[in-house]
Amino acid sequence: MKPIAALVLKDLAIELRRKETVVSMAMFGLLVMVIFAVALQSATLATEGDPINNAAADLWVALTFAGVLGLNRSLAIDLDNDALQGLLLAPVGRGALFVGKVLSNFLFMLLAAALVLVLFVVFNNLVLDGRLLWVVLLTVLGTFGFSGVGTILAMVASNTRMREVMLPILQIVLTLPMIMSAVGATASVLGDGNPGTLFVELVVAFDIIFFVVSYLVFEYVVEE
Amino acid sequence: MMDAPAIQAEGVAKTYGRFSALRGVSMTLEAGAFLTLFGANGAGKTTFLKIVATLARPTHGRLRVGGFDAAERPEEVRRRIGFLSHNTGVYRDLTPLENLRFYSRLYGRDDGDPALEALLERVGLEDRRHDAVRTFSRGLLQRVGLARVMLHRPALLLLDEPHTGLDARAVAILNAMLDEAVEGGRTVVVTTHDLELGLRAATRVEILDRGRIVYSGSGDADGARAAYDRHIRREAAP
Repeated sequence: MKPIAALVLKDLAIELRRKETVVSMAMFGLLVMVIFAVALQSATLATEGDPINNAAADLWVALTFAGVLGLNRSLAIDLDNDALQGLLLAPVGRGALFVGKVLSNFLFMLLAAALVLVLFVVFNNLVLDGRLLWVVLLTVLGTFGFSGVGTILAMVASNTRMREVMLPILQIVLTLPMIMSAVGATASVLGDGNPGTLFVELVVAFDIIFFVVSYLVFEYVVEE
Repeated sequence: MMDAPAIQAEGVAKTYGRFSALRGVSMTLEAGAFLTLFGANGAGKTTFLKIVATLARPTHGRLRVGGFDAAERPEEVRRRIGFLSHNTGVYRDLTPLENLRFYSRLYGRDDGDPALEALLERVGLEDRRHDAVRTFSRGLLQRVGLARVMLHRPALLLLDEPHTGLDARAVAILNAMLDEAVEGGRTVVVTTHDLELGLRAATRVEILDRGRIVYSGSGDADGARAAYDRHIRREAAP
């Protein structure tokens, strides 16, 4: 546990100093949220539909793009000056390094997601009830899966020439089924208060699969 | 494991796609030796050090470090090595002291600040210990990297062209630390293009050429110089 804690504390110390990863993720997420909310509200007004139907999609688009941005920034800190090599030289199992990095990314994404959720509540006139708790839980679950697979994909993308482009492509393609499940569950909750067991189970299943597979292949991804 | 050779390589080869970076390197380096590894650019020096440091896996061959098989016991190997490459592996947004605190925790040591500050004093950074590393010159950065490498008192030091970009004071600090390390019974492996710096303290010299060891000898300056002229200067000649 010590090396994992050391890694998370180190990332937190750097983030507190730079204030870049969480702030840029949150700002980007908020921007996407505003643009989508305005666009979708205009569209639903024109068709006399209920804007809440599109709110779930709005939330997850914002979280997805903000997450990709955060993963890129998080990895850039470790690649600068080849600090990643310093980590890999430590007598610590590759698994512990992976878990530490996932926890940092998860924490930063959660902080950004909290700010995005505040705007989401305001835009959709939600009240603090069971529906909102479900939305928060789904956000935590989705964010964890996203961080797990994103950490390994960021490492894979770092070995390519166009890593800023490669990461979003890999990340969005791979997490699409989980995002669809999360959107489905969030839309169901916002609709009738019931998230739909199948959707939630799918999100949890993707979390487990993403984390376990990424954990197992991490060693091979970071080694030459 | 106490009397085990520092490095024991048997037919170590490494290929990247169709390019062979190492073509069957075999050597036994006794503990306490100071090995200088010469070679032109692309000779395979960095690849060899990365394999010893467990950062790269050999395509063929076996490697033991301090008696531990690098493929089977990589964490034991890492515990015993300190590797400094062209990049120093320190975080630019942290201060030297914060970097050392982080690596100390990562190595499970939890050295107190006085010990870390003493190490920074050793590399001449006592006055800059609270400054962000991002404000440092190449030479100062290299000194932070050196402190990081020395932090856990590794039995085997692997330094890839450590003198590059250093001013005279930094070179003197580095040489003094390497001399101390060898006097303390530790093993040092240095790669360099600089013949005089390389021969300064070497007890053993190897020359790599296109992934193969083409010269292996003691620190005998005349023999090493002749081999250097034969294998490296001739290659570099227009």
